[in-house]
Amino acid sequence: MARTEAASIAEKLPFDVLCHIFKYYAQTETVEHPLETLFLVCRSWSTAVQDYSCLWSTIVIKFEDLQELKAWERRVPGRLGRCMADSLFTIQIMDLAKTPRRSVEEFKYTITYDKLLGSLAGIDGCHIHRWQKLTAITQLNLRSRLGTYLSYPLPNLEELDVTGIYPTGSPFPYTPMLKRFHSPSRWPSAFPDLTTIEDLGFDHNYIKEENLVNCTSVLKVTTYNAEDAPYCIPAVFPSVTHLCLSWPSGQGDEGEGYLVTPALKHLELCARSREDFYWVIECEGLPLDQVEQATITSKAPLFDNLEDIREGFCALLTVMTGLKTLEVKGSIMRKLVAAMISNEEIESLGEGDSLLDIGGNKVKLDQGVEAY
Amino acid sequence: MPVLLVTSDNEQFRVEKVVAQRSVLIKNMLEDVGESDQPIPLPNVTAPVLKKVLEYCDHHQTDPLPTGDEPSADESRKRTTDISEWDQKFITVDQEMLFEIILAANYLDIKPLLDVGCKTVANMIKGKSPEEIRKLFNIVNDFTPEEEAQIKKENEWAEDR
Repeated sequence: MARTEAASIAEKLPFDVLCHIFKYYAQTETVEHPLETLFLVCRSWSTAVQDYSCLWSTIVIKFEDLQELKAWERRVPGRLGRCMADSLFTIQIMDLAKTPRRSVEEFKYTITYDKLLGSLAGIDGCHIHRWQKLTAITQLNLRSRLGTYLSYPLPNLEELDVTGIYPTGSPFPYTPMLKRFHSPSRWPSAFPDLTTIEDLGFDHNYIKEENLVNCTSVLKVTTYNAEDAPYCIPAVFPSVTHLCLSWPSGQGDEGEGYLVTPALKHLELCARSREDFYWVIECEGLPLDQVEQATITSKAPLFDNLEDIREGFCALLTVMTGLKTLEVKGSIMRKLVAAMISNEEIESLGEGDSLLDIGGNKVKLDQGVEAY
Repeated sequence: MPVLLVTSDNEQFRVEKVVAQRSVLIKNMLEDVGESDQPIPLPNVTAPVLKKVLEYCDHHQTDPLPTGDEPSADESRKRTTDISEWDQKFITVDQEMLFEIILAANYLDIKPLLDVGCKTVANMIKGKSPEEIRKLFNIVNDFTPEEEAQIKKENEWAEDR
């Protein structure tokens, strides 16, 4: 009886509730079980999924092999056709292949990827002005293809996340709305206009000091470190309030880089060693005493250098005298903080250890999720 | 100050204002009527469902209220079909109650609860074929064979497998 009643509700859910469910379903879709599955459930679901045009303007393409890439390449034109004529596109292309592809396969991948990008761009680039958010995380051989399409004016592009671009022609002729630009590994050899950027992510190994001169509106900076090298770029960001650093001390000789962020309020540090903490402490341009929020992740092996991490972490806490919220991410940091509370190195003010006394400051503790 | 809520089956619930105000609908009603002992009628919610909804509101009474702003770029990149441990336990109910909670959250305008319910349903249908989804929720296939064939053709089902 209960199942029958439930069934009647499932079929008669209001349009906005169905759309809400479909929005979450879309985040879990796979090549085997795509959004189009919902067309075949019943009339009411079919109508809702058809009419919810926002669903189709977010195109998330994840592929591990050529068959999956081909399936998306065939599917994308139909999806674009379901969008409203004036809707803007959010496009995510995620190449999930776990190993580098054999060179004999590359040609087929490149052809299919080019067709896919061609569909997303439209004939003569007619869809490109509708790109609003673009993420393209791909292996090396596919990166050069994207540069061609970024040579068109991109009047509505607000966010661009790419693993790398090898541009052909003159990329980024017009990106007046671009607010976010992240390139977590190899930096492209050409840049969009950075004067509008508020959220910038770059790998310091692949950027030059002069590239950052125009970053006057940046509020958040993320530095990546694919080469595991010491931070090496001098950079001044007058308006940055949020800084994210990945193991800045790196391996090898000390880098000559430094950061100046006089408005800093939120510091995120992913540390691999004691030296990463001390790099931050000794960087004169970082006003650590005015940091109100700190997010600390450690990726060090658990038992190798926990004492080192503890020492660096304690030293950093000592200088962050204005701290209000401390977020620790990953099992290492969570265990470290739990041990410090248990040993009374940090005083818990109760509330399930969610409020701490650090150097006389009341600090809210947020035990973050597992580090990624 | 407690608030009196009256369900469709005429049961009364006296709850703290801070708990009741997790519902934007109730919050707006309270703001409209001002300081008053008047009971608030909830004609679309039954007592067992309201009891569950209030359990959720009570547990989350100190959470920041949703602002209605678009999520930040970083937030929208995170996997958002995850549900916290407490919420998962809370929403482990039979299908009828699950859908009733979703409908109540939609009516009462409790977005975080609506999210939890909708994520749960999305997770239930994840990786399932249309036939399996119908079976899961006892949904009747109301397409004609011709319509079904047409939809399959339009979406190139056979070609993608």
